Amino acid sequence: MLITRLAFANMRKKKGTSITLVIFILLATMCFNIGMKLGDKCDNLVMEKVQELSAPDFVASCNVTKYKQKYETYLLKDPRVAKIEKDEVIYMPTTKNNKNTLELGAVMFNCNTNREIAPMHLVKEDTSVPADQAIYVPMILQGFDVKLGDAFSLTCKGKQYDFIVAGFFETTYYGTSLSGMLKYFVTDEGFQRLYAEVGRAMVLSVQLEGSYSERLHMLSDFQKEFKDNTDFNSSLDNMLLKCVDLHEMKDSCMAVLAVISALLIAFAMILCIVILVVIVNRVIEHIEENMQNIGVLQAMGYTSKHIIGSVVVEFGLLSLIGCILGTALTYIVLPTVKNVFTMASGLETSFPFTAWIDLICIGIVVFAILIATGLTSLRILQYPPVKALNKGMKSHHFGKNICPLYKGVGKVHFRIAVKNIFENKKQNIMFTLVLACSTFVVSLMIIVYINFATDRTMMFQMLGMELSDVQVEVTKQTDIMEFSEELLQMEEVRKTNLSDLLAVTVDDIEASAITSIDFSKTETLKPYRGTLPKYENEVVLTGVMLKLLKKDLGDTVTISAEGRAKEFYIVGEFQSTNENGKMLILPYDGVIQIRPQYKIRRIDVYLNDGYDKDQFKEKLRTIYKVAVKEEGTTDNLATVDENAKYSAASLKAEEKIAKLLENYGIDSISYTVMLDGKVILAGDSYDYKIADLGDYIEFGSGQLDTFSSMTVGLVGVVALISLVIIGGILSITIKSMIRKKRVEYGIYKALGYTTKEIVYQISMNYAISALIGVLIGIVSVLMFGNKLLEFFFQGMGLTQLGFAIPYPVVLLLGIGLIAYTYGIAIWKAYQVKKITAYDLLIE
Amino acid sequence: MEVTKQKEIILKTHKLCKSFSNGGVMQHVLRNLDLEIKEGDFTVIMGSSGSGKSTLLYALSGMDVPTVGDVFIGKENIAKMNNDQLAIIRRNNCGFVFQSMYLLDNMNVLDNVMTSGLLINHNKKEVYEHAVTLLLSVGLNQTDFVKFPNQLSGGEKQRVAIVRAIINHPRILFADEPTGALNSASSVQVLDTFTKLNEQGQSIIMVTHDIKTALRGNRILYVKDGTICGEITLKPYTTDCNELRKQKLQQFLGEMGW
Repeated sequence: MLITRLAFANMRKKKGTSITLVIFILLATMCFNIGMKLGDKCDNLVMEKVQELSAPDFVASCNVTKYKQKYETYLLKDPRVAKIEKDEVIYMPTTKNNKNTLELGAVMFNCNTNREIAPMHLVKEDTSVPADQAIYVPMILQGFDVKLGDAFSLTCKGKQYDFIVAGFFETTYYGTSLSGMLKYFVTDEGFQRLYAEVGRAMVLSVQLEGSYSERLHMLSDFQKEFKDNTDFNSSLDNMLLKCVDLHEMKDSCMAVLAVISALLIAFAMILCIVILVVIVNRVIEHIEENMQNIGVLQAMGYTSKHIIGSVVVEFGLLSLIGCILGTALTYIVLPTVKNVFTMASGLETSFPFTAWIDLICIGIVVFAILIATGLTSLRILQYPPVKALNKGMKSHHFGKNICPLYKGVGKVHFRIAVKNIFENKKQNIMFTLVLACSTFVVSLMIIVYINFATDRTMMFQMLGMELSDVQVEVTKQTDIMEFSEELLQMEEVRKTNLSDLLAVTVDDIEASAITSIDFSKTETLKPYRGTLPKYENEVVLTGVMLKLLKKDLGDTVTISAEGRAKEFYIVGEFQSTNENGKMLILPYDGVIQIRPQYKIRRIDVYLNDGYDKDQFKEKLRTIYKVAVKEEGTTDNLATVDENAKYSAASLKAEEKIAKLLENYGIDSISYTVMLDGKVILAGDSYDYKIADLGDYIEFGSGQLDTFSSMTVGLVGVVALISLVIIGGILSITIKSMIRKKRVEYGIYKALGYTTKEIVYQISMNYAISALIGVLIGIVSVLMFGNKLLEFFFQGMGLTQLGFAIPYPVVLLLGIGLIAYTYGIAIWKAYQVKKITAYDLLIE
Repeated sequence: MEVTKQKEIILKTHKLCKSFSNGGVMQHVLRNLDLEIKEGDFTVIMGSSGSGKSTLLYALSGMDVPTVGDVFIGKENIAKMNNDQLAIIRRNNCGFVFQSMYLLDNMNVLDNVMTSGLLINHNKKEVYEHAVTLLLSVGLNQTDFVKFPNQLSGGEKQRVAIVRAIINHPRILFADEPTGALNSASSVQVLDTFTKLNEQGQSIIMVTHDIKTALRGNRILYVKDGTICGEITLKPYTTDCNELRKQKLQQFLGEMGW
């Protein structure tokens, strides 16, 4: 009781400071709490959703022409399988939509089919949309400017398919841009409309026996055995249709959120450190200012334990109040967090009252503050009553006279400011530390934002792909070498190279291999250790793969595909965010060793400066027969103009032929098409050289868009909180300084110093501290920023970050922080106006 | 025929009043005070405790603002000025010596003096040389220049405070009980310093309740109930005519009821 009364008396005496501290603790608790709640959701939501949505544990997709019955037969015989469903789906390898810049693959399920595994689980629905136009889209698209009732078109290979958004659904797989593909549902009418025109795939959805953790545990072996015992891998001819299990589903839903959660928790930790530093400083000042009172209490009979206890209780109460308010504010802010979560994961969720997380956050923060306060308060033991009554040790100056006024540069006010910096060493060190931390954290967030959202050059390099201007996928019958030479003759083309992606197994780990005829021609595919492979027995692996395999450069790995295996030497390390980092680089000669029949089918085209890639693609479409058509082509033959009718029919026939060649495994075809007794089209399939034209940069941008939109919010939150912290600390320290130095400022006033001149001294003191702090922060970011970010992003496959550091932006940030500090310091220092020379005389 | 040079009036008050509110009750400390201070005078203000002498000093020096009335330093009426304007008046015209010295304890002796000097003259070298000359003239030596206030005796501190007050050649040097916190030996040293300054032409206004201190002045004003109820002029102080001056002063003070 006695201790509490003392504590409350102290808090009342310095209401402003107490309130500021409470705000700091509130913010730290809130960040910590939200970070932990997000982290907890990331861990558990997929498990909850798998149950709620009756989601599959394992999905195997392949092109319908490659599908074999034995895949299903094998799974049916496997005792671990509880249930299996087969779906024939519409498959579009790359699509663009009319609402945003996402360029992703698409699989479309028929929502009218009865299914027990992953039935369509609608979160929002518009029943007024006509069935033949309805499309049900994954929830993530809500964050990409898609609403119920919107016209929604998907363009694939130049053909536009129009729908109206009739609903949003949740899914645990193919629900985010990170999976490279999005799942949709269409009605029977829509499905039939697309069935004849677009490619198809088969999807086998499997649910296993056992509890969630048992199923998770057995999935790696299950997938491996499925691929080993069937020839499923050989059926894969693109990287989007493949096997996906719960691990990959969880990563694609939660990878971004896991990073955000880790960043928030780290920021909260930094805030806590700052708060602890401030509190230690406050406790020391509190003891110094109240020394005489402490002496009086001791003289009255209070023990040191009582007095220390009162300080601990005071700050403990403040921390408890701050933590409780922070926790309450968390629940107010959670609906916004929920929306962000849904946008990033594609899963509807709620954040109910989680007492254990709240208690952990409150416990950690309060405990840290109590420990810091208790240890700092022990200095009271140095002051017996008489010493305390004499106001403790007076500050005796025997040392060097820092920054003497009679020499050096700068006017007297500046030099007095510099003197004050050394005199108030502890406070200034604390403030410098706060500025350093704030600069570091905000700069880090800005670096993340710039690299994900604006200048993505480094990010694309980290994707671990060769990003040529245009990727030309040739048809099976095209002589790729000849065609590449032909393209090289074009004035727009600077160079060409042949490359491809294929599925392989590396020492039992499924991975994707980038291969090329000539790696010396690649421009963005660069290892950060070692070299690109030169000889047929060399391979370059990602850092993630090296870690999983516990291998390093110079070791060997066994790479296999279609039942053949060979040993390769690891000669380099690169990084890639694709396939969660499970990527490798193999020379074409090496690929032939394990897949002798393998044909490389992609030409990377590099354009000369000044040529637009979209225009180049259009030129290719015009010159060569491709499956790519001008947009707006109509299938409706009922046109008024006779020529238009023939033209439309001709175009449609060409499309059909291209589809036959591409999707049904036909090597060559000679054709004649007639309409109304007239031959409208005749030719040879050898005219069709190009299967598809791609743009990996747009594809990569689509994957990064989710993360970039979230980093905007995070940068804003972190910057705002940092500014509040800096302003709050300035307020506390300047107020305290003016209180301590009342007599000194009275002397200055008596000597003839104006308020403005004294304000300049005070604000310059903090501006100089801010300058030093900002410099420390910037240097720290330059030295450690990428290393720290590696820690956060390793889950996304990034182990060696080379984020571009936007020097001008970081510099501007530093200048901004110094200016902000200077401005706040001037504002707060004007309290010195109330001190007059007269106050000195009646002191 | 002896021609006496007319001394210039450097400070003048007109109907100076100062009142304080004390728990709702107005206390009129100074009442319609008219006063003139001439150049070169060593004016001592005496009075019993609570008579208003310190309040008068603060009002004359610009440390405080009168309630009613005017105070002219030269031609400038400081009674209507705000705090910053008063600060500038003080730096240019006044030097102040406090009973508690009020040296800046985070600066050494030299810097304490330079803090004041550099306000007017930005030439560090000139201010430094002037400060050194003044400090030597008040009996401090070179080794004292780098000492901090807590390393000095009371008398030494007060002499440093005097140098700080005069470094900018103020028109008037104000002193509020400058020997109040000192022992007799230190007091003599400090008073000698004041005397020496006055002999050099420095105008001084000092508040004291000590006769020995008051004897250093050549014009004694007695304040009672907020007004100047008496005034005496003494010959300039010398070491050998103390007794006569003392008797005259004591008689005056007796008449005033001190």
